[in-house]
Amino acid sequence: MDTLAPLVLLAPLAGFLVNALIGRQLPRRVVGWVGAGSVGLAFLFALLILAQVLQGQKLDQTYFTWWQSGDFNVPFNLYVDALSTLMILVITGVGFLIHVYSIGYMEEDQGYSRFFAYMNLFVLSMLLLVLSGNLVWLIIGWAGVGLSSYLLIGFWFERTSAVLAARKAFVMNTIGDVGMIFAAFLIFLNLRVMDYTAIFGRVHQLPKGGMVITAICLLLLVGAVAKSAQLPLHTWLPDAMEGPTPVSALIHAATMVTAGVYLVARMHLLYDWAPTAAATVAVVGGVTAFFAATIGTAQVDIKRILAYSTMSQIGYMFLAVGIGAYAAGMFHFMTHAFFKALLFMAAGNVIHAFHDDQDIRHMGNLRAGLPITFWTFLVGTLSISGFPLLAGFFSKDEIIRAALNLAGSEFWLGVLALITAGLTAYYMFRLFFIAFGWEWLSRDDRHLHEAAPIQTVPIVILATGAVVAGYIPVSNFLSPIFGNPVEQNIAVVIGLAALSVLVGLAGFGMAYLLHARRPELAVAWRTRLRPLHTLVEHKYFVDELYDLVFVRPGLALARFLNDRIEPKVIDGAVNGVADFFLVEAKEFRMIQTGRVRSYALWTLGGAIGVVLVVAAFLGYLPVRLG
Amino acid sequence: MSWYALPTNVPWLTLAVVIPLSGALLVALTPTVARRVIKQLGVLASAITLLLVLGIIGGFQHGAGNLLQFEEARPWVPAIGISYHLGVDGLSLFLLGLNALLFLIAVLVTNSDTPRLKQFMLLLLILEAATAGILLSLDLILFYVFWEAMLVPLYFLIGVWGEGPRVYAAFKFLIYTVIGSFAMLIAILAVVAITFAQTGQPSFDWTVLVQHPASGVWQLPLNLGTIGIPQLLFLGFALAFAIKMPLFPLHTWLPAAYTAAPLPVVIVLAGLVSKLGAYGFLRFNLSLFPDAAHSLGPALAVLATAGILYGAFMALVQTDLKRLVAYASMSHLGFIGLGIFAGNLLGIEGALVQMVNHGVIIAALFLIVAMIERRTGTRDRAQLRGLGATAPLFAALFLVISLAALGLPGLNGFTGEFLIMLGAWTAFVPMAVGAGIGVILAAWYVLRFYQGSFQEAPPQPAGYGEMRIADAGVLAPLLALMIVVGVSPAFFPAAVEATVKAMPVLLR
Repeated sequence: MDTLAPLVLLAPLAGFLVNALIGRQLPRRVVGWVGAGSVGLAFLFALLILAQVLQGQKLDQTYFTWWQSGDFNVPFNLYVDALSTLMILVITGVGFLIHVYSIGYMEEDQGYSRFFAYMNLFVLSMLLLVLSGNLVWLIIGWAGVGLSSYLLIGFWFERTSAVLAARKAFVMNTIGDVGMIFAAFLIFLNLRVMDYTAIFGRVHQLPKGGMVITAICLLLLVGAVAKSAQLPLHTWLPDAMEGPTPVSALIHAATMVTAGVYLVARMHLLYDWAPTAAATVAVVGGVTAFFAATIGTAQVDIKRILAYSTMSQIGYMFLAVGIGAYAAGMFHFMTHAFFKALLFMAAGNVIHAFHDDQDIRHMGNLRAGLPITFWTFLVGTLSISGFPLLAGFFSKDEIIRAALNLAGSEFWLGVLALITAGLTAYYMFRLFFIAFGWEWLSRDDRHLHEAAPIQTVPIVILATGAVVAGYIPVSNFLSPIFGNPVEQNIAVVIGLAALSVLVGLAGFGMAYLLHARRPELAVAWRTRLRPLHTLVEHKYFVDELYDLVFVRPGLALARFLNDRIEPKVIDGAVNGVADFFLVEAKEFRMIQTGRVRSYALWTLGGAIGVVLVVAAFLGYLPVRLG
Repeated sequence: MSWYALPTNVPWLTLAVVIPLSGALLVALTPTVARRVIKQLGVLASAITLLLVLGIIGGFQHGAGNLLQFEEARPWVPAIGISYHLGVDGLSLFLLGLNALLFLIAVLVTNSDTPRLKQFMLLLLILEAATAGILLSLDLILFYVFWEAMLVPLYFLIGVWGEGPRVYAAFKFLIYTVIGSFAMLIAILAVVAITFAQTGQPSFDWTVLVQHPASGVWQLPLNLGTIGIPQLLFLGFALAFAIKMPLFPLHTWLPAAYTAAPLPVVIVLAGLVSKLGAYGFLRFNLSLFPDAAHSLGPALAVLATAGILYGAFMALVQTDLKRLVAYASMSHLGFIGLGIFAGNLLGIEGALVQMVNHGVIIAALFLIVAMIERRTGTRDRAQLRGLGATAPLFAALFLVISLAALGLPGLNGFTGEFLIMLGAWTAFVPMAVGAGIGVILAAWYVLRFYQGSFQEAPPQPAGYGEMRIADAGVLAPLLALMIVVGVSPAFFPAAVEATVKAMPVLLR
């Protein structure tokens, strides 16, 4: 295993290097298959790792040293257990299918080799993120996925909207990175180690629920929230839909945005030791799930609806890992990867069929023209809505059940999650009815073409996953890490399942009524609920709020410093002093070079300033600075 | 441990100063019209120096026991204890390498059509000898001589070959620096006098002075209280180095000088000379006055953090790309200052590695700006857009440099910033948080810079050409360092740890 683990990384690294360095000289066919093949190869390696992990093996192997000084020792080590194995299987497996799909989807694009280079860079970074055995390399992988996300959101860099969306994603993720860096500092300063095995071994030296461990977990949460687009650092994800659709499927749905869930699960020993921080994770997740679902009900861009859906589903995962149901959260991560990647790729086919129009109101009647896309999208919609016995049904129920089993605020978060399940069914079927339409709703008889097999076969495979993935015993697989799943009363399980099916049915019925059966009712309701609808349609005006509170004041401060402070105060105030001396000098007929004097004086002034600050520190002045 | 052992009977360090000087001499003897010969001589001298310095770095012994290496000591004015004393340790080792690398690049990018090329090359090579001397001197008078010797060529290089208000910029730089130097000279004399009083032996030797830290208290007149003698001396040195770095708010010479300086000079000025200020803090302030460093460190860390944030905000709204990079440089130097004033192992190691990183990154950024300006005729951000569309290689290299500049984990800027912030967090948490905000702002201003000039459509000016192979070749070593120091920097602490651990400021 100690050779397999680096091989998993080297495969996409090789693909990245080939396509980045000589991709433009290679034939397109080669570029595409180098890109997809390298991920496929990594998947094969991951399967070999799985075989060994199933036999109970683990790995924590150091390959080289990153920094070693005093007791600050950062190795480059890889850490393989059931959790990272599950992650790399999904990343490379679903990633491979999306790469294959991209061969067809990006066929016409000029930046073909650039696209595959970025995609492979992403896979490499994501694998590094989950395989790293220490905090520094976790952060490096964490930033690497952020970089690839930035590059791919801004892939069509001629578009101003894409450029701005990319920058927004990068800067918001940098906020998260800094949070994680600070968490790493606190961990090092309190435990004196940076690698997982040692951290997990020493975490119990800290007082349980104390300031330090709580601060560490909350700072880690800042990183998790930024990467996973949870409240309040969520606003970049909808804009990220500016990227090509396979990117949305891979990075902004199936894998990268779930990194926050992975982080909490990986650090579960820390979160178990910091109940307040864990409860915060649960609240963030539960509230985001509901919040994003409500926004999803009022959007008309097919990819943005799916983006809010992703935010909402990751909210479920956060809720799960926040209440300690780590295996349930990872289970939902896996099923979500299947059905959400499928939904995005099917949406990509629709968008292509409509010549890059993403407005669902312009679509409809897709069953005849895009049969495979139509039926697979329906499967995905059913799965995410919790249709009995499909993948999403099992994983979502496990989370809701875990929450409802608890008392206090967790119980109410469970109730919120149940309501959100109804909203999910509503907004997904609203999307389905409006965009895919039934024949009797047909408003459009444009002749539509189904996508080529290279774009439909991966979707069909994922659709199969969205149906059967619920039967994979993820909880048992992860039990060496998170413990055995709690045995539950079968009557309770069935009762809650029935309840959530009912809630889902209610959402479905609502969507059917408003968007298939009697669309005029939807219009009437929208008018009646105008203020509420506006609020939701504009995403609760969070973007506007951040613009007002952070972006504008930041730029205003910068302009103020540039226009006033620098020339007038720092460089110029002393010119005033200089002028004063100049005037005096004139009177004494001693004018020589006033400018020189002014700088000399200013330097002196600066020096005096330094002395004053220092003196204040030393307590020589009546002002206390520190 | 080291790669190999160099013969000990060769004055390696003297050679590092003499080779550029010999190059200067040869240039002086070359006829003015032989422009190609002049440039080739410059390249040759700086290339040999680089090879020599790389040889020294490879032969540097790791581990405790031998801190100062390749030492050379000869009496100069024995009566008052001045000597020609050179040596290299973990503080100066990699800066010496940076010095040689950046001067080679500066000479390479010197345009053969430069007016008065001969004088230009002459001054550049003299400057290289002076900066190498600064890094190698272990005698305070020798250091001071080199320190002042650096100023003269810089003054002329900016004042004669600069652009825009070049005389203004050069004069501003000169006056600022001279005032700092004057304070340092007084402090040097005072330090030696105090040690003389203690030991009865006059000595300007750093290795002697470091054994006898000054102490005592000075009663201010008029009952204004007292100030420690070490603190006072510390401030004398600090003024010189703070101006050179520059430390906020002593920075206003910087945008003027950086903007006015021609490309080869700004590479050296921003890439190297600013680091000499930081080096001075480590070599003198933290080593000779460890107590004062502890008491004054927090105040200077406040200024460093203020510089990080101030430079970042200023960079956000600059329209002249050169000024933008100048303020970005100032912000990054704040990080280096923060690591130094944290005064602990990781902070200082972070500062040391970040000095090299900053030299590499800022030189690359100024090169990029110059390449853009050369082809478009403008540095105004408002007049540039979408250049990446027709220059993918240029866009890719510029991107990597930008990412290193904003501290992307996995590239060299992160390595330094991470250690510096960790060191700062250990010493004073609020400063580390301020630096963290600086990291976020860096992402903002760097991406505005990159995206604003290379993305969006339509391209303006149209038909922007791809990067030339020669330009890519100049950037190549810098890019390689960005990746190596980001991914596998373990060689760095291996070489410098022993020196840093032995610094008086840590031992106290």
